Amino acid sequence: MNPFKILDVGQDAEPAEVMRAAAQALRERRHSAREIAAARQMLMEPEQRAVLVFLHFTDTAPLLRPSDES
Amino acid sequence: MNLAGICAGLLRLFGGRVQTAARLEAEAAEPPDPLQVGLDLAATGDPAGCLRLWLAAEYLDIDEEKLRIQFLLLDALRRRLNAGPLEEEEGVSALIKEFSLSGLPGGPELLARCRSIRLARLWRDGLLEDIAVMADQTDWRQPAALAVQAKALCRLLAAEEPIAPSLARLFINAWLTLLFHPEAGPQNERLRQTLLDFSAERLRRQAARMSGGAGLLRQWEELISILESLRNLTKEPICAPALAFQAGLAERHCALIKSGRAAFADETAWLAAGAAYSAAGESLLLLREGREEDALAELPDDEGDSFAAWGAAEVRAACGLRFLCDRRLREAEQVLTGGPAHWTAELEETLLDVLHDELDGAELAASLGILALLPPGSGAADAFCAALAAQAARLRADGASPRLLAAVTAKAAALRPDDEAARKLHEEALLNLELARINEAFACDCFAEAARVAAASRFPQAREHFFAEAGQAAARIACGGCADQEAAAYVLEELQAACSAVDAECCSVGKARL
Repeated sequence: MNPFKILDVGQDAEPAEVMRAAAQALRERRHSAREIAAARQMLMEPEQRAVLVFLHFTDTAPLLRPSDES
Repeated sequence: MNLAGICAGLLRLFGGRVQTAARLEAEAAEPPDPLQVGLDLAATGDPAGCLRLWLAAEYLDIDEEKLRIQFLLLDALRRRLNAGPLEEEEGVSALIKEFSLSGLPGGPELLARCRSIRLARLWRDGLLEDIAVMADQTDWRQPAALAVQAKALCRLLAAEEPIAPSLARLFINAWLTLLFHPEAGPQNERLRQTLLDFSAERLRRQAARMSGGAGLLRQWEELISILESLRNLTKEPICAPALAFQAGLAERHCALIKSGRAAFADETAWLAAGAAYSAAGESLLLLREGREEDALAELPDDEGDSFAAWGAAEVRAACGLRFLCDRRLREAEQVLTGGPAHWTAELEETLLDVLHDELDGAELAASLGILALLPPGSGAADAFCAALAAQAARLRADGASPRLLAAVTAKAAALRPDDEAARKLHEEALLNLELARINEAFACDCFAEAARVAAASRFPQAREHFFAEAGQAAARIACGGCADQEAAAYVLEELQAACSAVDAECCSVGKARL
């Protein structure tokens, strides 16, 4: 599961923003309450969040640039 | 009739514009020149349309023009990709394939760029399985490509669904390569360790669900150990062996390890790391996949390099062990004695298990061949000696061949020279073997051979047996066992010479009797 997608927040979202996003997600009911709670918990815990940021975000811009050879 | 012809007819039928009908009719009668039409298409910015038209007209002998338009198309595709990489990649890839552009200068680079863009698109769309499928074509030297692959694989691993062992192996290689990458990996040691712990836990869960899971966890630990040592040797990116072979970086890693003995805990760790990137490295990878026979077939012809030799010995030991476990003893012996092989505790234990089974002659002979590899002074010598003595007792009771019995007891006695029971068993087996050889020689009238065995024997019983057999042979000849007198005289003379070779005094008595 991707907690950033569930709560629709970016990798730099502050804790307050995460809380607001969780409340919004609960209102929208696009995900189950259990999933939203788990996502919020993951993103509020700094060490786990660091792992999730590493896992779910990556810079793909270099893949789009022409290489020197071509 | 083509479309223009039909149109012309219709126009005439309905009394339409006579002039237009006449023009179309003329065109129908004289079809347009595909070469010119193609050139017109290319000139109006549609080189693909041009090539498609020309390829359909197979009779056109215009290779030069085709090549020129192919280059034109290549340039156009490059511009399309630059204008909108994510949007255009699929279409560009399809055209490269349709017109075989990857064979042209600049074609492979454009294709590689399409692959990179595709990875970015699949990542954006969260199509993790599709990313994993592209692993064979991924340029692992490209940090962004490595990151996308490794993270996609880790997310697949972390999901609840079980994954295939091949995917788990790919995850181990890509993920650990990423975690030790100086640029794309975690930028501090604490995060690296947290990520390692996180992924190890996920891997353990997956491994528990699959057969061969223990091997995956072993591979995980081994690779971490290798990459940690390599990290101390260079600031450059380092790769797992499987990815290093794919990216053409294995030799560079091998050279790095060769000159960096001090970075490794001990000689074995150093050799194991070097072997993983050596000419035997791909064979070791096949071994980790449980493909023993492929691993043997992949062994390098030249094992001159110390890393390759170590790797080959590892492959032979592991394959030998597998065959031993499957009770394919002859194959196990062939593999283990076909070249240097590492003697391992697991191999030793399995061979002991095997020697407690009821083995037939061929299986026992193969086991003895393997046992020849037991290192001198091994603590298991006593256990092997006891197992062989038990086998010898069983063989004797079953009336097995004296040669096999002698070989088994010889090995038992050699393993424990101070074991009196084993020594006696061997003496007895040796005597029986010599008696059997004397019997065999007399059975085919090879008196000289029988005499040679008897004369060389340190057992008086062998000489006694020889003369007993010689007496019986003489009696047989005397009773007309030969075709005629002349033949009998010749055979007797041979027998006499044989007796004389064993004991000259006895022979003179025999001669007098004869």
